[in-house]
Amino acid sequence: MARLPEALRAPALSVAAVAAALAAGAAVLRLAGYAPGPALWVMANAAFGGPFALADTLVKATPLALCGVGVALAFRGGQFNIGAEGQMLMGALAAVAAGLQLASGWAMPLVLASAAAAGGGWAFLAAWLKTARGVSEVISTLMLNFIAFWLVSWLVHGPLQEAAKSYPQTEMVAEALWLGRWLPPTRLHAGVFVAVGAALVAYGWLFFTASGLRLRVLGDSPQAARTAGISPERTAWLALTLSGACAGLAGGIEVLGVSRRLYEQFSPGYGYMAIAVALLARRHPLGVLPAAVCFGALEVGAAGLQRAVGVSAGLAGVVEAFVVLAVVAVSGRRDAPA
Amino acid sequence: MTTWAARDIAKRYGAVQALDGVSLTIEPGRIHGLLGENGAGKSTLMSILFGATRPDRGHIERDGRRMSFASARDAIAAGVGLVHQHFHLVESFTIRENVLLGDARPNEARLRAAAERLGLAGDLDAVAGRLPVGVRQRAEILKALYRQATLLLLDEPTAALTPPEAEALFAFARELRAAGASVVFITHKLREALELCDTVTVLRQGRVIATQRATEATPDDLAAAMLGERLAPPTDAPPLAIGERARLRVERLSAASDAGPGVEGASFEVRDGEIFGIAGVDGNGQTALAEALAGLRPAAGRVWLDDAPAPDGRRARLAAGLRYMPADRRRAGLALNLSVAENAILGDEASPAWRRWGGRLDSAAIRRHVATLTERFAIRMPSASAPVATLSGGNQQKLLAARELARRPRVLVAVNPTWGVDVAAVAAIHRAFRAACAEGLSLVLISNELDEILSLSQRLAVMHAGRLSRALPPDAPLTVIGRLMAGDGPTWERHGSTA
Repeated sequence: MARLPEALRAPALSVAAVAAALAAGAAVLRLAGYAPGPALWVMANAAFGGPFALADTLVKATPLALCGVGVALAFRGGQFNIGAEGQMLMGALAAVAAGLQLASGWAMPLVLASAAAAGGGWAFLAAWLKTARGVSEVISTLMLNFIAFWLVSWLVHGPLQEAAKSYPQTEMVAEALWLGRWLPPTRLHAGVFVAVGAALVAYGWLFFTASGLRLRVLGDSPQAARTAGISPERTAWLALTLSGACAGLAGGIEVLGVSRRLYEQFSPGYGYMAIAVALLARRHPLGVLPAAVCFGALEVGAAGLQRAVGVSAGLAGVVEAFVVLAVVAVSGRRDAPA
Repeated sequence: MTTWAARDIAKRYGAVQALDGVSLTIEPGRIHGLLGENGAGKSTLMSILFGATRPDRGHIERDGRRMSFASARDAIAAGVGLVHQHFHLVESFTIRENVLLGDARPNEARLRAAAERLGLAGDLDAVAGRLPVGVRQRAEILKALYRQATLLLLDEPTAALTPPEAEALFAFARELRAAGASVVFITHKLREALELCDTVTVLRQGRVIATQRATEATPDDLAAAMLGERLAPPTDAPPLAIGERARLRVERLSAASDAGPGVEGASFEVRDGEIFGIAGVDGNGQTALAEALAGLRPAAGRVWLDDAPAPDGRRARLAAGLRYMPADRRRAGLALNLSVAENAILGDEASPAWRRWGGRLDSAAIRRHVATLTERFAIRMPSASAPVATLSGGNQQKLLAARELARRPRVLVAVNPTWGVDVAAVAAIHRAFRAACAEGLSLVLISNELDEILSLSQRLAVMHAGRLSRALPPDAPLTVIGRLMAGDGPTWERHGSTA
């Protein structure tokens, strides 16, 4: 077999994984009694056909990319953060809380910073539990997801509920804080640039700084890290906190860019999908961008398929799961943190 | 009486031709030595003889009849027994359970008889994991004997044994020979091969270079055949000038260990420019000692660096110029999936030589540094950005040594620094150690290769069961060193106390 250049091998495997997953999805469609060809065409059209479709896909891809960058950072550092969902919710909560107090456009960086801090703080809890009490971060981040979800649920039913009390949701944040929409009437907002920027910064930090190198050493070999004088505890804190901060930022961006408020079903599981995004990207911050677009398109496409043909949106979930399986199957254990 | 033979065996792994037309006849009642550097093809040949690997070409013959092994099961049924370098015993099972594992019709009488021959009759119901290494190895041989092997393959069998244990193994191999079995003895130690074997075959780069009667071979011939060129005569390097000052002083150091013995009150000092050897069979507390010195393991007692108390913790000791080459390069020394360049600066990633503002790393400066290291140590690699995992073991170890020596450390603690690397890499690493010591490095050389310690150290101590003997001169009688390594009580009384 002709060998691809090293730099192309990982992306090629990811593309192959997506292709394999789509083929499997097509087979499922056929089993369900639909003609796979036209169905896939409907999906592609819903996700990429025209400015509205494209904007929808990018709007979905934005929180996926931010959470995905966070998950990729944690995985690179050997920390299995599966709590991006909860960290994102805490970020959204902080953004709404801050945004309801501050009504000036100048406060936008402050609102986003509080979102990132809340997400980072939420993840730091898991990091602290791990280094101080030996609790696996897999368990703690997952449990913290539930806590965050029910906390938000209680708040939007109680203390933070809108004045009208008609829906379980908060008031809207001031319009001055809304992220600019640059292709009206689509919902495409400036958060896309934040996601791209976060991916670039994460890439530069991870691969071109001393502390990024330390994080990757810990992820590759905790023992080698210790030999090199790297503190596993502090580095694990850093990996998880940065990871949570990215997810928290995703929550803040989603509030200021799309929802303007917080409600119970705020996230359709972006934080969980981000794990698949990070794996498809093979834990590379730049790879997260196309991977997030891919998953965003899948979401939008499946919704389109449901509207047009009545296929359950659950199918998208099936295809997503196939993508993750295919990625894990082609990359083996190497990419998952031990 | 069975004659075994390999005929024109070839095996390729990717770009590497591991075996290239190897033919070998193993006569009954003989001990056949198989010599070669790492990567010469010894292990691949063993694996094929044992049915675990299928050759691309060629076949195995038993008494002139062609055999085809689909798996190790077939080979065992045909009478091949393999004792791996790393034992394959279920540690929580007894010896008996280990031997009978997978045998549908256990034959107690045969087991007893075989155990008697090996002197294991009393250990049959002992749990394997609690037995000394030498006994566990005999349990492995017992497995082969019980299955009535006519060809016994011993893969680097003395690597983990004390000298007395090795002697016992040799005696047993001779007994097997007398009983008409064929024994293949794989080693890279010339002296052993010449002492024990009747015939010696040298492999190099997958080919048979020479097959000689041991009585007609000299160590020089064999070494030359292994290396492909005549060796320089044994080092007549001038003895290193040792300073007067104690660079590293260790007083009553004690440390717990995760498994096996820890360190119990070890005291020694190393002067500047000195190589201080610590001999001993693996698993006698060496790892705990090395980690305690490196600052990786909490310890009681005192460590002084240049007459100042050594600071606690790995990072602080690193900053104080105490470097560490751990025994397990693949896990503790290097991050295998990271690049050569990244591994080359591990531990020094914050050095002002390449760290710019904001923690940014200057990749051009790092590349220059890597080029210097790879040139000085002749490290072969695809590129500086290739993962370290793509380098051979020898090149990985040279990279590790290069990194630890690069910044003129005051003290280096090196554990089995040449374990499992080829002869050329061993020579390169030893040269580098001597050169660094000539410039004032104090080296603590912890090794289970006694030859390595004897040829490099100015003074040495022996470690056994967590205790460290008093320092001995390198010309101390081998019998004394051997007895200390084996934990002989009276010898320890004479040399052990570290007042």
